[in-house]
Amino acid sequence: MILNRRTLLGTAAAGATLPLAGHSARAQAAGTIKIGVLNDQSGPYRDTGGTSSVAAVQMAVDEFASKGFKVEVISADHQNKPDLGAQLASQWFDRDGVDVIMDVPTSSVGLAVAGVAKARNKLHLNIGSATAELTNSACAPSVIHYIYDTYMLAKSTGGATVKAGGDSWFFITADYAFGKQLQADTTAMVLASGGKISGSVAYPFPGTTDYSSFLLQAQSSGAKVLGLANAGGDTVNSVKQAKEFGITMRIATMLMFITDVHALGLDVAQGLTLTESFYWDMNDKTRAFTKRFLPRSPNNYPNMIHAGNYSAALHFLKAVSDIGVPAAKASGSAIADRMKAMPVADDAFQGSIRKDGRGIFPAYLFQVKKPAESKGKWDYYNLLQTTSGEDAYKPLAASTCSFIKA
Amino acid sequence: MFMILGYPAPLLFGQLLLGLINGAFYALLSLGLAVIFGMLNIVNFAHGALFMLGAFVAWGLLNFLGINYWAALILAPLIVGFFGVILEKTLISRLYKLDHLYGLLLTFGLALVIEGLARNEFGSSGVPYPIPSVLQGATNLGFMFMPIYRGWVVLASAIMCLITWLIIEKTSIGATLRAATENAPLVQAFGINVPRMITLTYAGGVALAAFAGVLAAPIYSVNPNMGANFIVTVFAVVVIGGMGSILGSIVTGFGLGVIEGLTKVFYPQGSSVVIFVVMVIVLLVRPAGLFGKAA
Amino acid sequence: MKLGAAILGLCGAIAALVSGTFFMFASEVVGSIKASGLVTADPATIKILAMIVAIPALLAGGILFAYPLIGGILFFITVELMAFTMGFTSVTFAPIMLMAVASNLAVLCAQRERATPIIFLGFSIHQYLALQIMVMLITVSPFVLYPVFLMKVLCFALFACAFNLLIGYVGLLSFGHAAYFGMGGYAAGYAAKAWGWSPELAMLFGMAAGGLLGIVFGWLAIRRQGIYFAMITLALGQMAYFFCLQAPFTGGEDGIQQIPRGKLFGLISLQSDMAMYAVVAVVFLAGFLLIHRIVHSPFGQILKAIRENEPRATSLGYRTDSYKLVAFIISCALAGLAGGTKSLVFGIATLTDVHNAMSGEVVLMTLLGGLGTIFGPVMGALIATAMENYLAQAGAWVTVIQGAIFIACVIAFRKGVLGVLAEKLKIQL
Repeated sequence: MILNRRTLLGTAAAGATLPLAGHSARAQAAGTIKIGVLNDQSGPYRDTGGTSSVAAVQMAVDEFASKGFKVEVISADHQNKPDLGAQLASQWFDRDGVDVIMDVPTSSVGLAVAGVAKARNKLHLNIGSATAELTNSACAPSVIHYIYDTYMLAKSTGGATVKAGGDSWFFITADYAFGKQLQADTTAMVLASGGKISGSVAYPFPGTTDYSSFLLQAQSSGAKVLGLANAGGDTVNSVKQAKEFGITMRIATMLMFITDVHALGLDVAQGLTLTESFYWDMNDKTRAFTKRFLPRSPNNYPNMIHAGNYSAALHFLKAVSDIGVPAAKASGSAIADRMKAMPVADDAFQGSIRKDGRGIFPAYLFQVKKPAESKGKWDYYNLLQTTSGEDAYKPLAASTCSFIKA
Repeated sequence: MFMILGYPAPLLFGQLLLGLINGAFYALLSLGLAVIFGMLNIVNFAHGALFMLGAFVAWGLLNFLGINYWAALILAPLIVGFFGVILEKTLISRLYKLDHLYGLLLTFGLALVIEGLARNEFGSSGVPYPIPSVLQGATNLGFMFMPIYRGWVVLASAIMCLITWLIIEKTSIGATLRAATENAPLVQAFGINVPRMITLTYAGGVALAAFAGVLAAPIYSVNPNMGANFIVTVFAVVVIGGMGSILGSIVTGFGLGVIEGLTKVFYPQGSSVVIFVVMVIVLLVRPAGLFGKAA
Repeated sequence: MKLGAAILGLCGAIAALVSGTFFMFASEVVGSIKASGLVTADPATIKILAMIVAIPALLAGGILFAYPLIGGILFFITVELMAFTMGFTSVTFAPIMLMAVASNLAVLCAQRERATPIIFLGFSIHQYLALQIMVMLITVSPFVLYPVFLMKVLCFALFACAFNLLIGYVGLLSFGHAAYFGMGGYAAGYAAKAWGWSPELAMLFGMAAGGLLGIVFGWLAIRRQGIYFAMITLALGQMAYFFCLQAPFTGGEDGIQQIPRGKLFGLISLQSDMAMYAVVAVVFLAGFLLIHRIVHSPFGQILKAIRENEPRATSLGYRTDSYKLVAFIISCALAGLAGGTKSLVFGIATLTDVHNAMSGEVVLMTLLGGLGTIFGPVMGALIATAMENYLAQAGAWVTVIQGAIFIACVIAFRKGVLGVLAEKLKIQL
């Protein structure tokens, strides 16, 4: 009788791996707080968040003097896939004992993770997504949207630019929900501040790499400000080509980070106006923060998302030590309520969190320096206008968030 | 200002020219694809990645070695072409006896690896590459404001297309190449080293992509995804032109660029799908493509 | 929730139907050993062998038969107890069942002649055995692994099987299959959220959407073969992506969020992961068996003839284009079903599922598992999803590793995991 040894071994091996595959780190000891950072580490938002965000959270954990509980940080790459994001989030909450999920850029993934957190009453601190829906139609008692959203960008870039003299606008808009929303919001702000809209053109998204025709239309409209209602590589391309075509209008980018300015180079980016709620060279506190942060992220100076991750993690830990680990683990909304009750005060951000989960911080309108003005590495911004936190965000009265009305 | 079809003429002419510029890239890329396909029978999915590599090599040459744009225009294609030789020798040459689909799958994997590595190395926001000083600025052509660099792109790619076409159609090397495409064993029997010729053809096609990459570097964002954005459109161009047809890819490349440009005037929202619509129509009327031989 | 768990019983019943034939099968195996003349006529040995084979098989089959019964009784006591007991028995008896399978396998390998009689729905003995293993794993694994992860695997497995129907059995490489998958997801998600359709109707609607899109795109694409077909489907897929980006009902880049899982037939809530899992498992098995049935029907034979030599099939009088189109539509409809199911599982339908990268992923799954094998795509989906999952925590190397696997598969491993395994064992899987 010939029994095939290989076959038997193979089957045995298959059987042995079965239970092993299911073994993943289960919930740790009850005294440990687990923070999960879920963001894009390999795709287009790698530089605006990515591993630098993880480093920022880790830094907050290290700086937070221990109050009798351990803190563990884990991270994952959601690859900009909403299904992967939702699956990892539920796995973290259900099986791995994660207490809060942070960062989560890309609106579709952010909304999906917020849905998962809402269903389980777990805390989600969103820093990376831009969509204002996180504190409106998709709001939840256990979801906090920390440092920026589309409304705030529009308000600051639209409203403040008009105040700074740019009162007639032409939009080049990515023809999808995000772009259209930005354009609509900004238009409202421009009009409210007494400016006017000279025209707009929508281009197909994605896949448009050539903006020259749109730029020429903008130039011929005679408007003073060119509003770019797009993001990422599209913004970079359109700014580059605007420079090439000698566009003399002031260019207002709706969503841009210092990391993007760095990629463009000052030569091309000079004169751009943009909104961030953090700049590393703002004051002594931000400089001190940056000094501590740089060894952890040698290639990236912190933008508002990195700083926001630091601040949010620190604020969360303070709240946890206030209400105690068991209470924090038990209810996401309880810890969120505590975070809303405390003022945010650290080196990166000073402000508060509103009851709908909206972080309230000043929005700064910056203009990118000319190469000659820049005195050193990453010395990129001049501050044009500051919009106070109270003014920068959509008023509660206009919010479509349901739970705050109850 | 006179009007054509209700649109101001400058706008229309402007778009025509801009379409031609985009068409230049389509032509260069689909030409490379056509050359490779004609000889190796492989659809080079990695073409976009190699286009991106060309741009990055140019950037690296400038930043690390201080080699300027003009030298990069020659050096980058050579470097990427050499990389192509390595790819062909180590990987692609193993596939000739297999179904063509495996070539597509292999190069698809190659594209993922190259783009992934570039993302890990350079990040995703891209790197800046300046326009060479001679070509900076713009001239007023009367009907439009024309950046000099754009004019150079059209000119350079037209010359490059012409050279490639001449080599393949009019020289003895080209004749051997075409003969080898038809009947490789016979050409081999004449004492010509066909495998080496195949390798060099692949390198040549890849070098064309890299050349386009260097041309694109100053005007498009030099980032790891720049090729991926192009490649599907270029595939459509190739299907329309007729796979493997040199002339077809050149003419269709420029032509579709123009069509796309005009769509931007009349119906901007449709400009991303217009090429695919054209492809569908061509498939219905001439399944083998405009310049292709019936399969 | 309470009623929802009863679905588990349904799944158990299916498992039992398939695996319950275990012990009949065992005696058949013993018979075939006798017939093979392998064991030199010592009747005592045959008896011992028969016992080795039959006892565990009998046990396993009996337990699986008892599943719905136990479940039904426990159901009236408490759902939790039922879930616990079923989980417990599954885990405890898994080794026994595995032993049974292993001994069957061993005996089969010992057979001298390689004749593989068709014994069930067109499955050969080996395939039937593999099917039993698969069903067993599907039944047992949610108690061991995370159910949401497994549901994703099953959705992708169905998607990959649908894709494999084209590439493996007709020889058509569709490089834009994400279009049908994603469109199915959008359709099902929209129907469930905006119109409040029950999940089974939503899934069927997704299937219809995938199929309809398949009719249009297929009609265009089958005009060309080989590489051209691949490139055309790729371009059409890209067009579908642009459409989804712009269309008002898809929610743009935010996608359709918070799609309710709803109540099956308007009765059974699928809110709990286990209830949903049972539905997904049933959908997957139904789709899987359907594909298998198609492949082994006369229609499937003609498809294979077309794959091997299309001109010859034409000259034999078959309208090959019609056959190809029908196969294409079936594949697209099943891809739509998979997409619809996935959107209900996760409660979201987004652009990721219509994107080119998804088309690439399904090719990877199928290639990795084994082109043209019945179980290969399932295995490939499992590996690829697990990889995506575990690599996510490993950092930024996902695309590079995926690409490298692609290259490795094409260069050295063209038959895929199961293809290689089948070759080593000299059987068909």
